[in-house]
Amino acid sequence: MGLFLQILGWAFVLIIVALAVSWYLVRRKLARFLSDLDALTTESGVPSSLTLVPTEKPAFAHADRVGEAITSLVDRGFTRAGAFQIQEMPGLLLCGLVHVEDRILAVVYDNQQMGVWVDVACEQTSGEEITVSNAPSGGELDSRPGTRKIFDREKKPLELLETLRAERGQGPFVEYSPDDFATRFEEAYAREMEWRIRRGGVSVDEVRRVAEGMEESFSLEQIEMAHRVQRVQDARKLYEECLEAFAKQSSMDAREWEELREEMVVLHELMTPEDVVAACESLHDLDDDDLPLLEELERARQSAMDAFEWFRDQLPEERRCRRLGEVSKPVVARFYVAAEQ
Amino acid sequence: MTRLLEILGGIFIGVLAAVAVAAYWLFRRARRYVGNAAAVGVLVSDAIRIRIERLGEPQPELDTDEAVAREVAALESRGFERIGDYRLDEREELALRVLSRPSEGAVAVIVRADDGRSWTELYSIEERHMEIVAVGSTPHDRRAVFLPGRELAVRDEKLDAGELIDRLLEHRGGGTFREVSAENFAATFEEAFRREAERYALHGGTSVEEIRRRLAGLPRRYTDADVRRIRGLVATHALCKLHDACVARFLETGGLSAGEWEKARERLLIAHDSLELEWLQESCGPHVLVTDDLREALTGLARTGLAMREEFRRINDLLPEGRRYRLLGHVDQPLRADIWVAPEREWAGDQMAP
Repeated sequence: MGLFLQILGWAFVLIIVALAVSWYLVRRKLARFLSDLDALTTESGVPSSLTLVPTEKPAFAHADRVGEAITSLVDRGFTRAGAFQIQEMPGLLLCGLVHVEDRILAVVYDNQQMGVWVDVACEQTSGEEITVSNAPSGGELDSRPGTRKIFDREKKPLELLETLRAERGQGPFVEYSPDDFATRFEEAYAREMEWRIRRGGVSVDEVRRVAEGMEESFSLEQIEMAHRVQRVQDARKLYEECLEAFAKQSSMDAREWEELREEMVVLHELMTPEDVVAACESLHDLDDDDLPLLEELERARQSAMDAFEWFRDQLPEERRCRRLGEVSKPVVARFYVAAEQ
Repeated sequence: MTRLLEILGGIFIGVLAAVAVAAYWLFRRARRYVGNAAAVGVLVSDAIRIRIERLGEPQPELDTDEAVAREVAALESRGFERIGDYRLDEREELALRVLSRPSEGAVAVIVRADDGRSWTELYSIEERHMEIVAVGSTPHDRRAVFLPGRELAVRDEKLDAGELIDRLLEHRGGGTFREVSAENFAATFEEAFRREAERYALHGGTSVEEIRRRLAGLPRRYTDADVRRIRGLVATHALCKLHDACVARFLETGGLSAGEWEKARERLLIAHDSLELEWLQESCGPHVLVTDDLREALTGLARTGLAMREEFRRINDLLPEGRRYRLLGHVDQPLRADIWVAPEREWAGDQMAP
């Protein structure tokens, strides 16, 4: 009995040690994985457009540093174009400045977490843009063709200006005025995002470069996982923005909208053939006789929306889903509900 | 050392025994919890509104069912007239054959489920408040079709249509009841269901007595502790339904565009005087979106004695400017409530933004 208890005693000690070690390792690995994923992705997705809302009394989180940056630029001939909140990014404030004579825009940003940073930019009349920035992030992302971005976190606003002047070439440059600052800013952001959305969103290389810029090290698996998560979040954001755009232009009241919303299927120009097939199946009561049509649809080489319209036209009228409308921004998207709705 | 190992060996045996007992206990508890949650599904409906669709043609599955034919014949022999076949959007698995005796204010609904079971429910709708009196041969594991949260006054699977008529007349007593015809059946029962659902939500859900009565017919035995837990689940469900009802009423009042609503719908907070501060602190249920700022403001905050709608206004004013809730509107029914919209989440930097 004594020997039996001693063997159990040893087994007990070994099990306790093994449990403690594995608990520590698993917990650490899991916590690390989740925090890394969080650091490499953005939960809410990136908006495809921004709306600047003028604000008379901006509550800057770092008023001194913002004031310092503005003063240094005003001393160099910049004119204030006003302070703005960004509707889609609450908590991010910016001040616009324009050097009318030199045809340069400057933006001073302020955010509680990210601090203060400055962009200076100009655009050649041929369409080429250059931006010099001391933003804490953004340099890891690809530049849109025809645009150039130079990032240096250490540079002061006037050094950014010097770099811009040295790098921007001969011109001629596009004219700016303080009155059109907000429009120019919104248009530039929308152009950038349209290019990013159309090329398929964030790339694995961009996620990898963001990861390299961080203190921690990330495995290839983590980067690929972060990329997949980010793509899903961006797709969700795009879907929400299409829905919002349609709601905004719709003549429906809130009650009608709410009744149809859950039944609505959105098809947009960037969807894959698999998405189109899924939409066809969810919108139509299909039977075995329709399978050849579905197979043909999968092989179709048209755009997603044309392929869907072709499929819809093949069905008898009483079975066809109902098209509610279309939006052109952020991408061309159409909205449908099943025939019985 | 030998002695220590022997003691550890003894402890190991004790630990193994304790783990086995705990696992058994947890398994039983989990099974009971799942069973209780399933019982809530049998008791109450998730719908606040239903849509009743009149079918143009008689439904073949009703025409060919002998039990249905017997019930129809029994009802027709008592003066009921057939008004049509119907389906509900809430319970697509049911086909309904409806008969009415308008002079009596009685409506018979013969229900056939797609698993082949059929039963009969008899309804009278009280004229003034549209309160429903209902009896039925509804099986114990099925919910009455038009009673979203209450139990039938009489539920007995053995009663035929003739006996059910007698029970209905006996149970409903005097009073004036709606005359229901083919023209007004759908509209009348949709409205009666809506009012019932709102009453259920407003009164905090099905009562303990009704829960007991309802569960008594089910094969599983429910203890008093189970009934208490089920009552707790039902109360939470009722509060969620109350918020849904407020939102539905708010949308009916009109005045809000689809665009405004789309931006607001996921960020609502319904404040009404039946709401407890603890609900906000726990931020549970639909349409109770609590932001981090509000949660922080609520920490350690004591009620001032104001009614909750006023209390929420006061708490909202304590939040930093720009992070306050925006008042979207009010409703007076099913109770007075303010509809607030939470501010958007603060942008906290984004590696992926250009």
